[in-house]
Amino acid sequence: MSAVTDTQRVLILGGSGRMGRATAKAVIERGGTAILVGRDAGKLSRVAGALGDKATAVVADGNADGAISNLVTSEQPDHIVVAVSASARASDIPGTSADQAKRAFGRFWISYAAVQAAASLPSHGSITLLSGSSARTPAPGYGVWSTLHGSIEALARAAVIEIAPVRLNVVSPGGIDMSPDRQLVPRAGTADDIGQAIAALIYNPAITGAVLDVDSGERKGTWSGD
Amino acid sequence: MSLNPFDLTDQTVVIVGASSGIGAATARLSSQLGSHVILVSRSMDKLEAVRATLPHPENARSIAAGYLDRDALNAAFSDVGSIHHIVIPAVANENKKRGAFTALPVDTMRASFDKFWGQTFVVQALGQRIVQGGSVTLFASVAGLKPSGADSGLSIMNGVQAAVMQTGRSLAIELAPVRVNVLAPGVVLTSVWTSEPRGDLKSWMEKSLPARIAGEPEHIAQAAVSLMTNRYITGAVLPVDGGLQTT
Repeated sequence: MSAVTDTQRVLILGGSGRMGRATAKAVIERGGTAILVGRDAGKLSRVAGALGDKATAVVADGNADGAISNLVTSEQPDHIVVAVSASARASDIPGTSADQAKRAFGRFWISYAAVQAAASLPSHGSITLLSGSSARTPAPGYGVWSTLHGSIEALARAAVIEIAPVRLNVVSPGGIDMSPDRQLVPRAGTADDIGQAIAALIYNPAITGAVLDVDSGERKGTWSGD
Repeated sequence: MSLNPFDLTDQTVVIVGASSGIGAATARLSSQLGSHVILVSRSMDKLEAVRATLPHPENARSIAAGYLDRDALNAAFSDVGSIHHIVIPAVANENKKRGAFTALPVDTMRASFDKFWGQTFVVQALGQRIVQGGSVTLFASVAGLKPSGADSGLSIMNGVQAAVMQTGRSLAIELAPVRVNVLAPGVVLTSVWTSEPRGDLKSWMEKSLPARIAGEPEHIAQAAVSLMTNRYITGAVLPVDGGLQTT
């Protein structure tokens, strides 16, 4: 954990986002290599450059057919982390059209494709998905996101016994960089908190099928801070 | 400042049940990560033997106290100042509480709850010494999430594990901003299990668990440190069981 270093390779989908970058930092701190995957070449190379020579950038669209499997073949990762963010407008279920909701569910389908690809990781490998605290603590106005997060946890539950011995875990983040009005501890969550939790699951060979809530006991209030 | 997200430099970590197994492994890892370790169990001799194996024994001390006597715990800690983290992997001879439900003696069933009361007493006695950002890590078992089989003889003990989980989640609310989390180990190769004639547990786990791995104290220690050091985790229940609960 500190003196322990390992050189394992971690493929991070959504590598230029704040969760992806935080995960890469934790991986590199441990001595590993972070392979950042994203669609925006400029943003990706800026993030990878700032992380140093243990970070590499690969431009790819995780939504494209076979893209993630191809990355597993070409990059030979030990672990996969799905840290993509959805670029979709979605809110409550009555107010969000099915078309809009389907765009939000792009994150589910990338998670699905990544789990499929993870089945061919080496036996010591793992995949970590991100859901969200609204999966189990819904709030009015966020119904589509609650459903998306719940669907990712359902995917994990079903797949964990199908891709074994590759391990499969989920980190469920609460609000990040928001006023902590739903949290038990008066401190805003940071992307680094999520990166630490992802590293904790990647590097523990006895954890699979876990959903780790990293949300400071999020349970009430609003996300807007009102 | 260390970049290691699991760093414990200069933090005081109290480990109740530190004389063997998961507790001793947690002490070793916490010491390696730079913490001041306070080892607690009933036997000073056993604690001192563990302390001698720590990466930094000079940065650790032993306190002999049982966790079933709250007042004695309080007294034993009278000269200890503030603390950062409490971890309570102490076991109360769980396998001696086994038995078919219809034949379980009343005393055995009541004693099953030693694990619940011991952890509760530790938090009551020491919780107020925890500094901002600090944490408590309680220990249940994955059997509190998924009951063990009909012939396990653990129906009451499984209820104890669930009680630890729900009280832990409740204390996360009541004691905030102190963080309170619960670890739910599966089968771990410690003296609790391996002293029992339970066949070849290791090969069973390596063959049957989704992760194809036998649980070791170090796995649980690593998870305990993860919960301690993440300031955005409270009220969480983390299974560390090789996937036992999914099978």
